[in-house]
Amino acid sequence: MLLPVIIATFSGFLLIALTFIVGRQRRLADAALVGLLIALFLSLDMAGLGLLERLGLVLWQAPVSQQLPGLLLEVTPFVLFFWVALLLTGVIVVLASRSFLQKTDRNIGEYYGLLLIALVGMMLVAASTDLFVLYLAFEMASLATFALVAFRKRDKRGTEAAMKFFIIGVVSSAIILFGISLIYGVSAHVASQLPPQTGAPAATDLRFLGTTLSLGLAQFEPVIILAVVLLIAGFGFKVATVPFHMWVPDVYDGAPTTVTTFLSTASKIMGFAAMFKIFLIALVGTAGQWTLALGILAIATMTLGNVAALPQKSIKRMLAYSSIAHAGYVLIAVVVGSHSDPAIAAFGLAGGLYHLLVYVFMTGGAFIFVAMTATLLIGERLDDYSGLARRMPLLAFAMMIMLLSLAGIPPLGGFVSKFILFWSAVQAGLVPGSEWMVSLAVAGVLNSALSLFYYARVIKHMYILEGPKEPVKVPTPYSLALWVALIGTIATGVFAFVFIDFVTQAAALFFG
Amino acid sequence: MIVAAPLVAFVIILLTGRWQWQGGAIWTIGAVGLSFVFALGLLIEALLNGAVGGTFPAQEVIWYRWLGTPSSGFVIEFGILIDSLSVVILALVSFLSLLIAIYSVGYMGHEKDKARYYSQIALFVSGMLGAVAANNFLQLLIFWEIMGLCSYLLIGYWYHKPEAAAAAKKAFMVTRVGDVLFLVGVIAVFVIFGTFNILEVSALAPGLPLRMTLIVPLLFFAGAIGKSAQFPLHAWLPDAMEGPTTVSALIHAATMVNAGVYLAARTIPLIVTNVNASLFIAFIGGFTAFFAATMALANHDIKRVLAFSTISQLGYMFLGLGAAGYALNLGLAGAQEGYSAAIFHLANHSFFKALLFLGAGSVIHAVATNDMRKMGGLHKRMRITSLAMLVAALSIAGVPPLSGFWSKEGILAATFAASAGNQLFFWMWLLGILTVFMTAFYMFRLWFMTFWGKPRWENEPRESPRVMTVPLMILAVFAVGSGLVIFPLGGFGNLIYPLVAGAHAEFTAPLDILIRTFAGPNSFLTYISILGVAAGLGWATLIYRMGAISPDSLTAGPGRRALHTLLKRRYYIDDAYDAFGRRFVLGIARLSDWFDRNIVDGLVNLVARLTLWAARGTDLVDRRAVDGVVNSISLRTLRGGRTLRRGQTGQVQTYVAVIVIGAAIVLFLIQIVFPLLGVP
Amino acid sequence: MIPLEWELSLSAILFAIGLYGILVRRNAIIVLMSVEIIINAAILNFVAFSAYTGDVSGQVFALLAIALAAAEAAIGLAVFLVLYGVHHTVNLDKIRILRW
Repeated sequence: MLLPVIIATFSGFLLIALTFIVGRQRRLADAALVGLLIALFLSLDMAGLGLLERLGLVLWQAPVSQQLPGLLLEVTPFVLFFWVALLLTGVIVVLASRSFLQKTDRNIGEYYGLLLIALVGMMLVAASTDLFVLYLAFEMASLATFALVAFRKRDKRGTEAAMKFFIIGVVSSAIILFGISLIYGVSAHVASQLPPQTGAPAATDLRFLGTTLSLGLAQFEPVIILAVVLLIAGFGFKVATVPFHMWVPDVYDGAPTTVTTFLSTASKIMGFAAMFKIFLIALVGTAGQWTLALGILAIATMTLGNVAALPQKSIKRMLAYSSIAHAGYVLIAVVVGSHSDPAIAAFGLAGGLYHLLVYVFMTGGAFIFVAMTATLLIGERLDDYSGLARRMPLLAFAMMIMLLSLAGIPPLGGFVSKFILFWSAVQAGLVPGSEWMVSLAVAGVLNSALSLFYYARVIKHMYILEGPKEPVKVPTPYSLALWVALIGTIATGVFAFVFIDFVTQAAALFFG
Repeated sequence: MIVAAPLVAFVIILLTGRWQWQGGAIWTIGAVGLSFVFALGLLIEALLNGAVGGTFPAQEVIWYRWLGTPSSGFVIEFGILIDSLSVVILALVSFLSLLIAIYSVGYMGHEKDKARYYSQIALFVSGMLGAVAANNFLQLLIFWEIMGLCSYLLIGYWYHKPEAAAAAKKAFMVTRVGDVLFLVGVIAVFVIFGTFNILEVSALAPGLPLRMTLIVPLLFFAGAIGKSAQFPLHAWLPDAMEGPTTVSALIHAATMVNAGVYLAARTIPLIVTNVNASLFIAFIGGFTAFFAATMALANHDIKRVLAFSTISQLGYMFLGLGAAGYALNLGLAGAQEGYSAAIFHLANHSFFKALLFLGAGSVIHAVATNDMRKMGGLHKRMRITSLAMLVAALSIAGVPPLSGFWSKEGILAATFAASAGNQLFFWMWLLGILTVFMTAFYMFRLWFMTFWGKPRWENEPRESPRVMTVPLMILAVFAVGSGLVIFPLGGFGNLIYPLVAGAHAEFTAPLDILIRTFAGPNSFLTYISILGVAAGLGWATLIYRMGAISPDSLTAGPGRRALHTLLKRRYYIDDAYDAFGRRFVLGIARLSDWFDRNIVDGLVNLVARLTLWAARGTDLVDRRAVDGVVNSISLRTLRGGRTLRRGQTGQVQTYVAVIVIGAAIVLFLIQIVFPLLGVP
Repeated sequence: MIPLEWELSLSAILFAIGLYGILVRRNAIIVLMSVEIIINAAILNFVAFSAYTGDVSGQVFALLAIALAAAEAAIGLAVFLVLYGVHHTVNLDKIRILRW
């Protein structure tokens, strides 16, 4: 069942080893790509494609839904969804990196190796069933990304970004660890009070935590609340919610742009996978304590992200703020997912999953576009984009579509996912006791309208303003990556029902 | 097919237009022509079935399921809705678009970058057709936004002119206000009925909860107001005249602005659920008709005059719809008449206003200015254009038996009939009559100033080429003849009425219409309005043709001058909007800047100071604790100490500090604030 | 046996000291050390809870966390080394090209 993870791990190590054999060559990217594509195919196959089975190679019965208790892991549609999303991100980033990394860059093998190892960590986060395992996988991914940001050792901005990312990252993971230690204490105490039984799950099993924490809530409420706050702060850092977001613009701006793409998509997806698992399974019994606070954070996050993006002149920074805003939208899923009505909760979670998938394509694509313009020496600032539509008509069109999707213009993917998210919040608001959740939808709609303004400004620069005229030659890997992103953005919107069916199923199974 | 053809043309031109003859004009013309052929086919079918006995049932063609599963009861299916209303407008829009696209070949002939123009025109046409043919409100909204986008792009076609760019932005922003409300309305309908489908919503509309009956129609109406440039969202249309004249003709006279009327007509089942909603719509319509006409009196830009006139005429249509809705709600007579007259006026207005704009375009093409004071005496030089404009002017003024007369009569009669239910309608009828007078006046002011009097132009104007005059002539025929539709069809009444009441209207013999209009019990109304036309026409002739009254006398005297200035400044509404917009945006920018500077830095400084105190020992703490809070805000300026400036952003630990403070705030919220507020 | 409260108090104090160090000290290496102190506070919690409730997994996790802290320190020091090579300082106040 873990074949995709194994293949990704293997190719990661293989790449590092290959560096010593073939030296620093761009061809290493192809090896990484092959590994990723195989893993992606296998994940898709497990998720319901069932192609191998039809070919006579019966490894599993698609769609796979299986527990691996010995490894404290599970492979369910929910997990497979994240694997697919993460591996897709990997494919896009590797494609773009193939052109982004210059001949002068050293350690290309390590770059891809770290990328793959980070992906493996992220995949394991999604698959874990135990808080400890989740944390270890989370750290595995984090450590790899710390190193990735510092990849360009001679670059002043890159190293500064790495330093900031590292310091804030380790502080957050220390905070998370402290929070986990408190939760562990409560859970272990409650578990020791329970009648002993054989085969009882570990005190930190996520589903078991759901039971123990709600049992212990009356006795240990302050401790649990403190732990929850620490976890919100720690994971809030990863997914960049206000007020834990301040590193995002600096780091996204300073890091190599392909790494930024990776951070803004894969790393964020992992953060949300962890949040879904921890908040909607382990902490769901204590939901009354944190939903409102998280709701406020969600509104603050989307508002601040969009408002701060308005005056930005650097497209990279603008996209960084926009990705903060989008974290706010997905937070709606965490809030609605804690709703007492399981149907509404599953619907909200499905919206969150869907948004993450679309987000891979649209934000990933937009960052890749920025990386491309940087490589081609066009620049990363708004003014540099003037008249770009004449210089690269097809890719500028792709960028426009992705920006429109980010703004939530129908019939693109961004619209569908936002629609489901906001709609789930409205539905939750119709239930007595959680009327305030409607405000999430209202804030989301208003923010989407606001965001159109700065996305449209980029389009205006590309299409309306005059700029240099001479056409530019875009390297094929960039074009490929952008086409993947473009097709994804459009397909998730136009053929929404295919994906919706899958995410709803995944969300329903997630809640068991 | 109707919708898809222009869309395909858009893509083709977008990709290859740069290398084609005339920037790919041929694709646009061909595709729009194809749409027209299909729409015409549908129209003929509808006419055969609906107008002369029998009914033309609404048909839905589903393309595919976009969202949701059938089992969950939550389904959004895209498709098209063909009924008499949409058929009429589809045929109308595709026909006018076709003519204008052909005209563009001449008008835009010497422009650079024509591919952009034609691709956007094609996209616009597909947006408009898609919106009209949409079978659900969501799809309607999508195409509605495409229209808005194209309008924005085309107004700003000459983007290097700052006025054009500003006008484009203004149009976008102002219509957006309406669109957002429209969106809210669509969502509200979805929340209430659980469907976006227009037919289903129409069927369910009588079951609209009572408290929603006012708000929902008005939300939809807000969208219509924005698109159709009604008060108070009218400000963008005159400025939109910065675009090419063909665009003004196509989008801002003949088609897009009608989308608002179409929306109101489409949602009439919702509107009639509340008397006051209809009254409000009629009031806005009547008021705008009057209000815009007054502004047209005092403008010298030929296109702006036409723009105000467009706003005014659209006001008539809303007046008719509102009156119809009102009458329908109370079961009064005149519902059918008002509704069909509004749609009838929509069609007639499209013809003669497109003609006026294209004529104006022809003139502008010849003299290269928009200012009527720099025209004059063009009649001899541009006979075709002049005569075409005359026909259109007579028609819009409402001179019988031209088309404008019949539909305007219908609307005014319906309004008068509705006054049986509410006194207000009588006053709106009076406003309508006043507007008739003013319309005649300003249209002939325009015509005389442009084509008669002393030549005031600088270069030698010449008649436009054939490709431009032929569409003018075709449209002139329609401006004369489209009114005659009233005889076989009762002015669309027979065609469209079933939509409203679900019943088929009785067939009215042509002679009866004549008798009703000129000799019936209420025929004095007709004569009053003809009198108004004659007065306006006569006065304009006196001033601008005979010179019997000096135009300057109109502005002589402080009172009249003040009025003139007020009209010229468009009642200062634009200025107010600009000022508001500027303040608002600047305010937000300032606020965020202030927040950035003061709150974030202040917080950080506070942390920095706290640590400093700890380092300095307790004796200092004592002294500072009193005024420390005050100081901490202005500390930087007070001390200027380098050590204290570490609070600037860009410093990692600031971010960590914010994280810690943020966590503390969350903790504070959960532990203290929520329990205090009684949150579970 | 030492009461659980004492150990928890100690860990809380360690947590506060670590946080203070992170916020106040300007040397990146000392900030890293302060982070380690927070991690140690957490580890102390694990061990204390584990001993108190008789659940072994806490101690296992304490060991893993120590390894993790070592890995973090390794990466961190590498980052700071590179940082020093480029900026010629590890003073966090001096390194701020990236800002609004």
